[in-house]
Amino acid sequence: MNVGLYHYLLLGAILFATGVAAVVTRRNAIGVLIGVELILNAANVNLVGFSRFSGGLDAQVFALFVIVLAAAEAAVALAIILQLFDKRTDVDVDRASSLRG
Amino acid sequence: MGAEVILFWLFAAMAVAGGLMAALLPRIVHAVFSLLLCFVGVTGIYALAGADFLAVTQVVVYVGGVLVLFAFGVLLTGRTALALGDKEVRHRKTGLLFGTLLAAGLVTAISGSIFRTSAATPAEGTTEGLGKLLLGDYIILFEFASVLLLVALIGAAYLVRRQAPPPEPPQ
Repeated sequence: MNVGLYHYLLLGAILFATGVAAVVTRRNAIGVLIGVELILNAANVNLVGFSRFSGGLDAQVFALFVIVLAAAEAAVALAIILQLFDKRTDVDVDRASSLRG
Repeated sequence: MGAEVILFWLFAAMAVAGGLMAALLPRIVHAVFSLLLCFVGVTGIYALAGADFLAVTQVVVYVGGVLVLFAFGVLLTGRTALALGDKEVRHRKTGLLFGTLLAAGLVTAISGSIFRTSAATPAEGTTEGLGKLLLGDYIILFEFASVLLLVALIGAAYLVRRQAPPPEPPQ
């Protein structure tokens, strides 16, 4: 039995599901961010699997751009979380509803 | 079973266990450190798939950058994160059920689909090919990514700046 494309896709699907579960259940804003990182990693696992079984490197280029986006997103999101903490002294996303109309 | 299969399952188990712990552990510090386990597992998967450059990038950017950033975030906002305690994860059962259903749906969809694959390419260095692609076909995207990183850097620095006190009214 060899490792096939399906194994990579299944791993990506499971990681994606755990990431979504983290995003919807975490109350701490950093926890939500952790979920987003899990989702992006799941996408990258899929891309690497496709790259391995299609013979081209293009999917890996996309995975590199996903990593760049993840780093930028983490920096900006943490800056927003720190500002939120400064204003409200908590990072509970349930209570961060002051932008609601 | 070859060594590759065993290693794949080992790294996949690490990634899934880390991901589950990051989603479910009540303390945010523990979640950040289990994310480390998940990232290391994913790195192993990349290395097994022959994506050597991506594996190194994953370690440098995620483990060396994003996780340190998260650790800083937890430290700087730690007082209330600890105070949330058991309430940190809300609707745990619903979340678990939702995640399980989502995973089951995706797995069903994937196993029901047929992908045209070529034989697994033998593992060889990808750095040269990636560099040629990045500075060739994808040069525009590459430049956009550098601008995006610059914008994100400036934006993050702007967001976390201390508010300057209002200027003194002229006498």
